[in-house]
Amino acid sequence: MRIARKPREFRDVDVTSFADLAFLLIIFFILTTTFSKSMGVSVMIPASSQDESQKPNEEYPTVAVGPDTLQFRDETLTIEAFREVLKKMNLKARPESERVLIVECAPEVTYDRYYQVVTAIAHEGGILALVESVESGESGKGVEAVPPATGGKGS
Amino acid sequence: MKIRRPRRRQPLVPLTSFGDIAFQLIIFFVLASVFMKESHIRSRPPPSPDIDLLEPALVSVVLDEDGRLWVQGEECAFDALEPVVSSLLGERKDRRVYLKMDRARPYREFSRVLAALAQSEAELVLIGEKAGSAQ
Repeated sequence: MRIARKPREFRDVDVTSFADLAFLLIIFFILTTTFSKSMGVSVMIPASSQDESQKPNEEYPTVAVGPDTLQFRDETLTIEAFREVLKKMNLKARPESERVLIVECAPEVTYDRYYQVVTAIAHEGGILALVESVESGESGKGVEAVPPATGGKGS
Repeated sequence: MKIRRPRRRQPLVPLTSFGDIAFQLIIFFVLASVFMKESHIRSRPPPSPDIDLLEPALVSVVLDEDGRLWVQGEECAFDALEPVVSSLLGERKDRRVYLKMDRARPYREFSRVLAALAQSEAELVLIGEKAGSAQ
């Protein structure tokens, strides 16, 4: 005997809720995402050179940074006072050669303190020249001016 | 005469493509996201009022609170920093390198990082946090 098969019914899969699901996922990702906002300052530190003619000139003002002291032009300043002095110097209006500041650091100065000084200089349009700390043989630690006093300005 | 009104049809909005659009959006966001490679590194950036928001850079160097050095999320020796960063920068025009250093590291340590990056002709982006923001 031949058995008559029932014709198959074509069933539509209900995909309406897929959209809801996907949009819920999007909303979840948007709300849980923490956008990374990096804040900082852009500086160009020139590579060190053995060329004597490239070494920083004595004319450039030097900022001597110690663990608790900051000296600029024979004056001991706080970081706030240093910012005021930089503002008064109006570095942005000066030619590049007159915007160079040499930063001289004691070996034990923390990055926190160094950062305050560097960002203040970059913010006011100064050009940074690095003074490298070196081990000076028998006499212990010292500082030696190494890189040329040219470089990019801070942003 | 009785006018026969046409039977109102229930309007049917096809929603099938909505799902496609939503998934396309998800795929776009997933592909366009830059995932943090340095979430495992502990480093407290120094605060300063003189900093601004910056565009992201391709190369990132971190000096963590234990004095260990990381490049692109992987630990790196101090002596290897300059060649590693130089090879990452290659001949690129954009030579910006994100430099995130712990606020407590001493100059004798972080100056080595600065000197090595200066040798690789990188433009340094010194990362900090806006003074007064949550730490």
